[in-house]
Amino acid sequence: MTNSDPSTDNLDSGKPKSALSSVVNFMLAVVRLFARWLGGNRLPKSSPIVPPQSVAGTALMAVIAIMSFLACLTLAAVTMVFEQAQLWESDVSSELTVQIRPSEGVDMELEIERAIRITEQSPGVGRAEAITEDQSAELLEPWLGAGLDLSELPVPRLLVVEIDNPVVLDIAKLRKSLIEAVAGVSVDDHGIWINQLKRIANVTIATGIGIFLLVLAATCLSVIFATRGAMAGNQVVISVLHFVGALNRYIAREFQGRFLLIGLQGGLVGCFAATVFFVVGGMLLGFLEGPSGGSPFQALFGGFALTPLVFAGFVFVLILVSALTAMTTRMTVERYLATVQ
Amino acid sequence: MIRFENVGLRYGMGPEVLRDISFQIAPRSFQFLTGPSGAGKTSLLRLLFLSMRPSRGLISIFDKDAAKVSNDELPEIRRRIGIVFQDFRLLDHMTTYENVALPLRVQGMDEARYRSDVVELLDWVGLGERMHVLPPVLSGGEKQRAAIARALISRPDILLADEPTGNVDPPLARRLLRLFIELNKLGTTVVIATHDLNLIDQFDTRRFVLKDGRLQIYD
Repeated sequence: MTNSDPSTDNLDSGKPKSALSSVVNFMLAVVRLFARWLGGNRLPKSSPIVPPQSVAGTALMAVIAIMSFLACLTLAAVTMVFEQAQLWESDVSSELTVQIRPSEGVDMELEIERAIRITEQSPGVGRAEAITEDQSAELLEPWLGAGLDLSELPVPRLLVVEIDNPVVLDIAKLRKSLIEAVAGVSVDDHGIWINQLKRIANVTIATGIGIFLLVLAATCLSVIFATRGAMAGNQVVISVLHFVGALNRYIAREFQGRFLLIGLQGGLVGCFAATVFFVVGGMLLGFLEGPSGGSPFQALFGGFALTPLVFAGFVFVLILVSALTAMTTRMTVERYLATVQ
Repeated sequence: MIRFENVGLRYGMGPEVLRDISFQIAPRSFQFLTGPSGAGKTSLLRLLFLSMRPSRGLISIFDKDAAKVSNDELPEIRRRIGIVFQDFRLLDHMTTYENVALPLRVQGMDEARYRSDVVELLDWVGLGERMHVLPPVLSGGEKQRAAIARALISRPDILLADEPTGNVDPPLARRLLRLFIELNKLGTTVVIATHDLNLIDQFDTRRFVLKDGRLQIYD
């Protein structure tokens, strides 16, 4: 009778092996043969110098993702305010108002005609139009009530002047010409409003940039702590690399590569979350506004939309966060290695 | 090749562990460094490997004053020295093949250039069948041979081995020593630190004996 029991074979060979180990060895041999067939007898891809599990990768990636998300939101808010401030400024500075106060013995209609003529002759002015008495009454109706006869009251008349080219228009010269020719005239170029808007917008933008920089600084600090942790956890690896003759910049590059990958992954997650936030937020706001539109948010910030400029900002954040992560790691590692022999 | 003159070493404010050590190591020479445990063998090897600076005295390695070697110059010198540590110091996340190839990899060499050399060396030290195995799976003797192979792969001018036979049985210890002697015949300077006098007695060669921090040389 032929004995095919592996355990008996093992006894025969004088080396006690269990049946289980024989089966495992056989399976390993099959796997090895299969791997060799698949890989064409090539050696497997080299392991990374810095073991991935020795770096607190998941935690750091989560921190970088959150920081990238906040950086994206801040940058988007700054971009929106900047764009809207430009829009406000161009809207307001595309018009100016000429006011003519009634004076005794002065024919208002003649003064208005003269003011229109002088204004329209000025370079840069597109059109000047007087607001009629009816239109003035309509504007004042909320305060003075309906059925008002303005001819009995000393209500000033207004001219709305549309500016074609604000660069060419010399407002000071126009103001001087009007004051010399028209009685009781004054020119309002909305300069006070423009300056206030500019100031508010600049403060908002500066605050946003400050927050953006703080977020980046917090990201760098997190990376420094994580790198120090990784260095402490890889002291054996570093000492081995040193005694096989690795240059400090080689070791720094290995750590930098590992952290760059983490930074890229975290940055991608954060920027993707910000993109989703903007798309979903824009849809929700559109839904809440209803068909009439015109929410206060839209009036202030011009809508909650993922514009190309905002999206470009997200890409910028991704590149910046990844580059900062890699650079911070390299500097931290090089500083550490400079103290080690 | 290596010259020590009145070298002393102390750790912090403690007593001197090495005192007035003076010797020369010639190219292609073979020597044992011996002495009881705690005599300072490992400290002396660390000085030879420039991983420590002496408290006093002069160390000259490859005609360079060790005190004047900057951190930037250290890797170049270390690439000319192969070292085998008592605790092997193999990287557990890398295979035997990758551990042995590490000195060439850190020099930026392309794997295609060194692959056959590494495989050949692994076969020579009897680890050809274990090249894709991670160190935790290797036996003590296999780890020892992998560490020796790693020290030799970049063909160093000098090989320093700290208790290379400390974790292996006597027959394997003799095999390893024969391996070192073969290497020496091929031109590598060899310094072996061991406290196994029985093993040393089997070979008639130069001995450095450390006792109470002082060195005696028996040619």
